[in-house]
Amino acid sequence: MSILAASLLLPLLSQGPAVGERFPVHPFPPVAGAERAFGSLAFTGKPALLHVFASW
Amino acid sequence: MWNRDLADLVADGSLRQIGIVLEQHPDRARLFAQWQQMDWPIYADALDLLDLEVVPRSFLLDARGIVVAVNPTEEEVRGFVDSLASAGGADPGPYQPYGAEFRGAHEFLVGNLPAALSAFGEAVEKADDVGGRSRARFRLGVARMAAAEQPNAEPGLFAAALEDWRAALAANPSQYVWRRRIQQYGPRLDKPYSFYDWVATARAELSARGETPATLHHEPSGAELAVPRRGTAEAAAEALSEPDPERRMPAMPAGTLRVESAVVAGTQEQPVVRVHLLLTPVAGAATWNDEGEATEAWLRAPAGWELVDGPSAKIEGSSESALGDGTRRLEFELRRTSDGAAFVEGYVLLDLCLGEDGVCMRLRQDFRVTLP
Repeated sequence: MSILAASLLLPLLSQGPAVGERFPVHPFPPVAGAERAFGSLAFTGKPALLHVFASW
Repeated sequence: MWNRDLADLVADGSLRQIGIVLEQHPDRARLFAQWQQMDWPIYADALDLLDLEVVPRSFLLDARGIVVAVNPTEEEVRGFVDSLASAGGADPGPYQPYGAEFRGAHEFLVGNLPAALSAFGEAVEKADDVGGRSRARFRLGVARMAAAEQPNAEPGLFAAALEDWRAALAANPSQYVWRRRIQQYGPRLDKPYSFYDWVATARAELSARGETPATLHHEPSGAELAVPRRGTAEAAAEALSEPDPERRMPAMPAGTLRVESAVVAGTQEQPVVRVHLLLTPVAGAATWNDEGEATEAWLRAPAGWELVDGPSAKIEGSSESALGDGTRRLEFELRRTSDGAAFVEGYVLLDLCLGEDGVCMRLRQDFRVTLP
């Protein structure tokens, strides 16, 4: 199967959760500034701006 | 608009800022955050469980965790925080328990790599659609690369991880998070920029600020630091002489050095490959001698290929290219010019201390690597 053909079988670009959806919770380990794994308490209780990025 | 611009809202308690990094080596983000003075919590999603294909991306959430805007402007954030809507609507209830679709992910996130490898391997076998299979294959590669960097790693994991990522990307070529993971180790012609050249700058600036830079578990090396190459390959201009043309250096004793290889092709159809030679002294038989000369490879250009940087390749210094368990990585690139040989040959000269007596000497190890 060509790369192009394979790509046509997949949905459009995945951009993560959409407006109106609940942001998913996974037990992401802390890298900096946190002691516990990522959880729902990380952003409930007050509004949050969540940045997904890479240092590269 | 993502760090200091909203510091006043964070300081007065009306907004949280949170980071999630999609990197194979999240500890590098710790250094990045220290350098950029990000004082908010940062978490690691090396597996891309968020299923993003591009970064960076910002999500504005209400107090219930519902996404209200994607990549909002500063004005939108400030306006939302000041609004009644920021408290959110009805309580959506507790989160569902971690589902079967994330089998392997939990094990990986808590550091149980053997269980994660097993679960991701099964997920690849059992996936009944292209998307699910490619996601599982990418995550299997992430777990294998992490395992390759553990002490006493099984042979072959490094090359297997790169093959997992290649296969995953082939099924979903628009996935730029996956593409970057391969490019991290791939040929320079395929790189949009040097991925980790900021590390040296960060360390220098942190030291100048009187801070101790965060420690990295795995130093960026080789392809990770390489700057992009544009246009056609050019042989190194400087005159080089072969270091051991008459085979006078002593041969590596059997059972002393483990040699593995991985060949990474470009992600955009260029006829260039980057070869990784993984060199690991066998425990109890030899150790690296860091007081010796640099580890050096001499390569013979196979028919139908040219050596992008000439016939010589070196590992400079002792810390570069360190994987787990004393493994060091020597890298070089070849460009295909016509149909030709199926392998590249050469030899490596390296300084080891042998056996319990610790006799240190420079030794020769011949190698042959199969090309695609």
